[in-house]
Amino acid sequence: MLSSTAKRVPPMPDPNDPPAIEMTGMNKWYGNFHVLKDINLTVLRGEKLVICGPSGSGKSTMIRCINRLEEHQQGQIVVDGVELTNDLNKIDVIRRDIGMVFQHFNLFPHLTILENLTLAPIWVRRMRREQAEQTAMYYLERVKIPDQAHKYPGQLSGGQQQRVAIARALCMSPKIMLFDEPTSALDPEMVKEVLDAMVALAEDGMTMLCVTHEMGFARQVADRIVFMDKSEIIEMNTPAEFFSHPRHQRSKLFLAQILN
Amino acid sequence: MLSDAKTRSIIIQCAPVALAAAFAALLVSTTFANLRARGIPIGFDFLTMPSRIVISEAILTYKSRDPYYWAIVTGLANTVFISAVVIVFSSVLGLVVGVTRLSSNPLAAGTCRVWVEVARNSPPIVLLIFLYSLWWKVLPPVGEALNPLPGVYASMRGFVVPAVSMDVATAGLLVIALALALAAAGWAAARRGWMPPLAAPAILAVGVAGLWLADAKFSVDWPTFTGSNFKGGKELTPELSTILIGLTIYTTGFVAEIVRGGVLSVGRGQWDAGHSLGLPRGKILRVIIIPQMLRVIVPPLNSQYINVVKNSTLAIAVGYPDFLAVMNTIISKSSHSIEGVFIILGVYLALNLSLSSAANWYNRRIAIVER
Ligand SMILES: Nc1ncnc2c1ncn2[C@@H]1O[C@H](COP(=O)(O)OP(=O)(O)O)[C@@H](O)[C@H]1O
Ligand SMILES: [Mg+2]
Repeated sequence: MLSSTAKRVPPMPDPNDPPAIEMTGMNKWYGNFHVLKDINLTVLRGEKLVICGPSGSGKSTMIRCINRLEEHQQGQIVVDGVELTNDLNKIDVIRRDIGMVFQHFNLFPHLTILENLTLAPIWVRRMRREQAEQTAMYYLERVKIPDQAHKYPGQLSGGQQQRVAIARALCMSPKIMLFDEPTSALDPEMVKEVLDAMVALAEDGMTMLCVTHEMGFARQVADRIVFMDKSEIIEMNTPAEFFSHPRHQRSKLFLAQILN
Repeated sequence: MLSDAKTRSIIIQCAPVALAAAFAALLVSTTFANLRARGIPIGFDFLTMPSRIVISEAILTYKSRDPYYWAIVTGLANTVFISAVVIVFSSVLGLVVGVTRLSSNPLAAGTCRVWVEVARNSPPIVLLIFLYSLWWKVLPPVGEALNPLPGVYASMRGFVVPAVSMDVATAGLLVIALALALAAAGWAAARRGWMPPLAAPAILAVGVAGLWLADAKFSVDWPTFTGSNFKGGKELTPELSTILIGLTIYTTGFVAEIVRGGVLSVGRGQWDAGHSLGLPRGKILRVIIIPQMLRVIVPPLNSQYINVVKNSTLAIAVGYPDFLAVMNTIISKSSHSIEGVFIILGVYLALNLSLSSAANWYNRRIAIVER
């Protein structure tokens, strides 16, 4: 469960399992602008990656390619054994299994929290309404806001909205969760409640890719840290190594700025 | 006392009203005095007298022995019918055209773009006159009428479509059956969360079977060609068809632009969220984008609907007797021009205020809940 008292040992990523995500020689351009250069990244099942780097380095673009919110032009992306191509059916299958949490929550403002959570299970998973609502309430309890179920997103605080967004993604029982700066739009006092929900998710063994500059979180849950700069992956290492012995000048500079 | 904000605002608001009222009173009393001096009758008594005017076609039943007020109602019914049909069709088409303009298919998007540009940049009266002139240039004489759909004929004399006739009891039964079927479908949708794909045909089948069992008096009158004319069916004259088609094409252009702006006003994040949950594009459009867009587009849409009512007066260009045309005839026949003008102003004001209040009510109902 979510509470930190009931901590359990997460299943260790097994290198012999087929990887959750495999990107090989991936390139992407926006017009003439080379936004992703030769990305090679393998994410094992149950692995937690934190992606960091200066603004504009291509972090969002990279994780948005994983569920085809952006299209890549070269190389391969294989998610759970399925290669991402223009095949719309495959894209749908892959999207069902990947949850995503955005910087600005992107809740549906005209629907109640409960409706936000049940929409996709009902329409995509063809779940019956009662069952979808039960699932929704279960996840709302896990992110500790079951009492807000019948309110509208506009009536909730930023931290609450982001926890609803996490619950909404979880309602589709995804195998992989993507987070794009989930706490950067929040007031400082609300950052912790969202990170707590993410830590709990990590403890449950979810495969996670988080773009974040919360270095405390990175230290606590990340198996590896991916550092990006100027459209490239510059460095990839365990948090302990990355923080104590950054290999590249640019990583050092970035860490110095982030940790002042 | 004058420095009190409330008092001051009352005084500031009352002064112009009083001025306007005084001006109106002066105008009315002078007019009355002048008319009386010249021996012109004034008053609304004429409304109950037989009109003896001819109305070339009407949605309601009208004979020239009918009194003036019935002629007015007949003209009004024509205007309301035109406006309602044009509003419904241009809303549906405008939605489709507006959304298609944003599609990634260049041919579809381009076609819709041409439609929008043509509609928005031509004076509606030119569009109507052009379409009206096409009837005799493009469509064949009655003897060689086109038959695009079974039971539908198009020729120089207009359209002929099958007429459905039923008695009152049958119509009532049909309404009740449909209401029950819709309620059942709604209940199922609420329980399951989604409508089973066969729901619509099933509802229809149940309805038809029910009508057959109830031995309902229900018949479809198919038009048949008799050699020189059509027998049976319902005729749509070239005049009525032109005004309906022309105004629909014209208004669709404006509605489509409003819809396009509405779709663009909903942020890209909503699409991202929908896609990331695995929802297909059409579903995102219907349950996420369009409901949010409605809040933005209802006010400008309402202005377009008001324009439809106003543009329906262009019926006069093709000789269709709308409310204004009928009123013109009434005024020249009865010489009650002052009363006539007041009726005209009052009716258009009432029509447009009803549209606005409906829009306002709807807008309040769908307002987003904020903290
Ligand atoms: N839709 C787009 N069209 C053109 N350029 C874009 C688009 N989206 C992002 N970019 C550019 O791509 C670069 C990487 O953006 P992004 O992935 O958002 O960076 P990050 O998330 O690391 O801050 C930036 O320079 C940005 O301006
Ligand atoms: Mg970003």
